[in-house]
Amino acid sequence: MEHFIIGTWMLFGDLEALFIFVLGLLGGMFFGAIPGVNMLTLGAVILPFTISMEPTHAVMLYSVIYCSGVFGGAITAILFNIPGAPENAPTCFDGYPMTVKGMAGKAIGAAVCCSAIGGVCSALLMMSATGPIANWAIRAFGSQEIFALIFFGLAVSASIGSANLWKGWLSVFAGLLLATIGTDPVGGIPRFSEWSILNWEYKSYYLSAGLHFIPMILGFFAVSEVLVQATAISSGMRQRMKASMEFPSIVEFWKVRYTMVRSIFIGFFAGILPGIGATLAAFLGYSQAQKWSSRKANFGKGEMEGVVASETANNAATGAAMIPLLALGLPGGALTAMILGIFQIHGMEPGPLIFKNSNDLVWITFAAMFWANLLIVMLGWIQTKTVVHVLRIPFRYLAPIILLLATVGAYALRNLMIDVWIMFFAGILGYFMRSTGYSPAGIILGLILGNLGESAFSKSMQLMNYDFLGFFSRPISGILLALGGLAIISSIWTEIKTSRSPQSAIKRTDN
Amino acid sequence: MSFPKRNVYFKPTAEWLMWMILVLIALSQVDNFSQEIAAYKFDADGWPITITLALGVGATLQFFFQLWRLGAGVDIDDSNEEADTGEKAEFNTSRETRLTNIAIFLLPFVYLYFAPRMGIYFITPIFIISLMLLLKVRSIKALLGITAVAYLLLLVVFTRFFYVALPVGRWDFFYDFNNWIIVVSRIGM
Repeated sequence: MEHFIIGTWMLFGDLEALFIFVLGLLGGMFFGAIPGVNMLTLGAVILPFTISMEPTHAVMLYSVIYCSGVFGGAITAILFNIPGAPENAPTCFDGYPMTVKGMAGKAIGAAVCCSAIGGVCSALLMMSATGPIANWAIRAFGSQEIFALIFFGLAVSASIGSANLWKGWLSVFAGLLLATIGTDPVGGIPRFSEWSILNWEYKSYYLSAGLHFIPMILGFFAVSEVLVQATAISSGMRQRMKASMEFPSIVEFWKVRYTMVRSIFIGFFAGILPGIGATLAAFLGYSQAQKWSSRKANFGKGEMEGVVASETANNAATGAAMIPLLALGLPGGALTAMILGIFQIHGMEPGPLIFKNSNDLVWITFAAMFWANLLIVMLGWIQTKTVVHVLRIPFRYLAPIILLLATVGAYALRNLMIDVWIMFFAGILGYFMRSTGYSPAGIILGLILGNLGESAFSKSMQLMNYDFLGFFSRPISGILLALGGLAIISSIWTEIKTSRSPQSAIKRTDN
Repeated sequence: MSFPKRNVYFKPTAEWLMWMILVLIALSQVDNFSQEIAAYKFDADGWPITITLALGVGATLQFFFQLWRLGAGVDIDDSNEEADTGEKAEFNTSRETRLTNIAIFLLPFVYLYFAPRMGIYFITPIFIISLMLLLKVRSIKALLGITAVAYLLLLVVFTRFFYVALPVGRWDFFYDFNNWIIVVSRIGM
């Protein structure tokens, strides 16, 4: 408590720190809420400016951007079906249908409150037990457990957002295949960077670095959404969305309290594990909410519980993701990797000693994340009342701006035009996938988890001397693999049972 | 019992063929990186081959499943149009609409082709106005206003404050023009 008070005093007592805090908070929310760019774009473009900052301020700035950016990404997911970051992708499933129904205010209100609750709980857990949690995670979670968790996550989340189980799995497999482009994690051998089909040959140094998920997510969501809406406009089909300001009531929140608690635990648990991060947390939170909900048939059609589940889980993962970063020097995602970059720029090394050597830095960061999450409620409420008006702007005016921002966002990542080409190709692919019932979110999930999964699998195999049963000799990995297997069998059984009934032709919304 | 029409098999067959072509292409490229790794039994190609085969098995299972459902007289339409546009899709399929839709799909690639040659700062306003014209915006005020807002955003936020090094073009005149715009946008800094 004493450390937290000192951290808070350092934050609010120093004008420069306070200015950077406010800038990070507003910047994260603003960039997160602009369709086409996101908190990672902001993080990437301001990274060079952190050289002249104090390391304490620079790390604090990025941690605040992380909290507010994850929330900000929900706004575009809800209003335009364009998630600001991969962890906001499940928010689209119910957030956007709520907007279509004229309940955008309610959806954003739910996202605001749940992001804040998830983030604050996560920050409190982070402050109370960073050291012990990090030690437990590193001892209990080896590569076998990480692979098993990824398998479990994919098994329960694969069919989310798709028309049926098969299309969900095919989307995930396509994402996993795209993730193999680049270098293999064991021998560093370039894969799929050289192509020879009949007499046509192609070689790309760019492809040896792999496909970055930011252009892909911008393509699959932002560009494909613009194409969907643009073709609807040209065909005279598009209806303007209704802008509503209604905030969810306390009774409505009370009804989803168990979903919130479950998502906090899922988010925190997934966030702690290095590399798994908030994306898997959001997908798991959503799939579990759907599984246990009494209104599971409404999921995918504009159910507030779906927004609550994914937004609570992804913000609960933000605080947790700082634990392996600060205590062990292991980043859990793209933005935490940038924070690691800041440490390196300033010649510092995160790890167990950081709590002794840079106590100020740790506690100002913790305090900033706590206050940022609390302030999200207030700023988010104001944002709800203002940003919903964007829906009043005709989409034909917004479309070029979205495409321009997406182009700049994809390009600014590595200053490569090929990222923009990939984004537009992904956009067209996403358009056709959506019109045939496949899931762009599934592809993104496969793309993000593919490398991590392969890396964990290869390490596990080497450690277990290529004995597959070795996974079951460790309790956590054994249980996770068994649960994942059961989830697959049960979903195939449900698919077979329901697929010949006439109702199965109606769009699939549950597992 | 009514038997499904023959053309209902076209969509699932085409879908399955598309996946199988992708699987075959991926497998045919594996030789390019099929190298032994001393410390790892499955080599560099083990994982991609497994994923590709899983993709093929999944696509085949989906195909048989769709045939099975068609055999039972169940509709297999999985389109998401309703969710995406907020209503049932019954598209206007006039020639003009089809051409407009094709142009909407092609325009970004024209933009991407010319952006490195003519520079972002020159080609962007043309792109924005073209897209809005395709989206049936006819008001001069709206065309110029939205273009100005987007262009200001590009100049003020990304060029002036964030120093994003956007392409300035390779062709002489355009290179000079783009650099002039950058200098103007950073006046006073």
